[in-house]
Amino acid sequence: MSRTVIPFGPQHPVLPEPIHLDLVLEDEKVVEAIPRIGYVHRGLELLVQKKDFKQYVFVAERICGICSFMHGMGYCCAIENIMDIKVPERADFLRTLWSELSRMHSHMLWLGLWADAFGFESLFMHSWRLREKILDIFEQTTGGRVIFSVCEIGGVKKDIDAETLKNISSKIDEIKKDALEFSKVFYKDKTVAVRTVDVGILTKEQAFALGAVGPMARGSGLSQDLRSTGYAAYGQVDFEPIFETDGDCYARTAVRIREFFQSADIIKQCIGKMPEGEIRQKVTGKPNGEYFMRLEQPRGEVLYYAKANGTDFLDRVRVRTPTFANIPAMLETLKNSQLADVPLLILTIDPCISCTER
Amino acid sequence: MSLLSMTKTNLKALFHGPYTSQFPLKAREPFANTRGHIDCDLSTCIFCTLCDKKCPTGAISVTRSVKATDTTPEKKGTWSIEPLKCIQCGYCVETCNKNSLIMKGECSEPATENVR
Repeated sequence: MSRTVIPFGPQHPVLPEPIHLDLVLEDEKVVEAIPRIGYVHRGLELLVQKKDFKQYVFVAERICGICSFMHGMGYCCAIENIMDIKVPERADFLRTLWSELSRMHSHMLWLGLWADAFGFESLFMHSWRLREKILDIFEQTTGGRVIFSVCEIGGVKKDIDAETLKNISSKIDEIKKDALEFSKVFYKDKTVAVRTVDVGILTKEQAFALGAVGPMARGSGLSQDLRSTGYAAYGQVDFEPIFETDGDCYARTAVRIREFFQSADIIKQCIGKMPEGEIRQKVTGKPNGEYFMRLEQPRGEVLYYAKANGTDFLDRVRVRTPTFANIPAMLETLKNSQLADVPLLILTIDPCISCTER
Repeated sequence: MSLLSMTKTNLKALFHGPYTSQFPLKAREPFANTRGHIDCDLSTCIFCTLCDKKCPTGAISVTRSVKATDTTPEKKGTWSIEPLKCIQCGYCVETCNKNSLIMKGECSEPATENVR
């Protein structure tokens, strides 16, 4: 059968950010997808040679607008390990709390976009309405809605008082109640199932071989979650990595929904176990050495490499983002799929292109 | 599997009224922590240029007078900020030794200097 190549992106209604794919088609079936990235490269890694190591925290936060806190935290943790700084315990708990709130709002954002991609507009609006409540908690505690500027080398800049913590706890209960109501739609609605069940299957072996991370890997039965390593305060809260075994779009949706509720539980645990004390450690001296820091972002594992030379300016910062790691897995799911499913299969990895290209 | 799983949510939304706030009839108040814009109290500022040096985006520019006789705020120096460059990170507020810089909750007015 003759083949046709059609361009997909960089501008497409389903893509909030630009990525280009050349889709090789046989009739309506995709036989191959060839990606091209680089439309929003900003040179943020090179900026580390121009901004001092304390100023770079603000640059690291701007790598992504959704998991901005965890980018700042990943960079700070790398420098803290190089400088051998012990972060106060309360700061660790606050970092965990904000990380999990980020995971909640990221998953809710994705669920909304996901609903929008298969044409369920009202579900999209209800998802984002709920996300607003989480953004309000961010604004109340950090001063920003998506870029928080609270993480710094040696701890965090802002504390949360006991009364606000209590309010957050009750707001999380409300959010959980609301989310429980319409998460059933993702699980049980027939129209959703038709578009997601048995679509874009990635087997456990394929996920492992292609280096998939985050919900993409966990939806295929790989139980890997960097939070289990116990960085920040994760070693002091109870949770188990969530995974599903079907490996299709429905399984990945289920992973994210279950993680949303798991994050809410972790936040409640953090509030309950929050120790009293300092929130920042004084930083003296200049970093000298190198370190790899691995964290679990909403989209999967992020890797921060920092190399310092004893001056104010670092030699190198390298960020391996989860979307970059998931692109080979996405291309695998695109093979033998229908053209109409391509937008869903791109969205299924929760793509963050500005992260990928930095 | 069901076809009417959204019914409860939709019915609730029908009787709930708008979820959005009725701006401008009801303006949204910023939280106490909200990072809106930076303001400088020139009466206490000593124009040490520390904020100028520390600003990650180079939005702040400070000049100080070299004449010892210049003692009034207008003559001691100048402090200015480019609103379009400022990212409201609050780093300058932290570094200010005299606590002259304040993070205000309200967002700054739209910059119109480039409008023709």
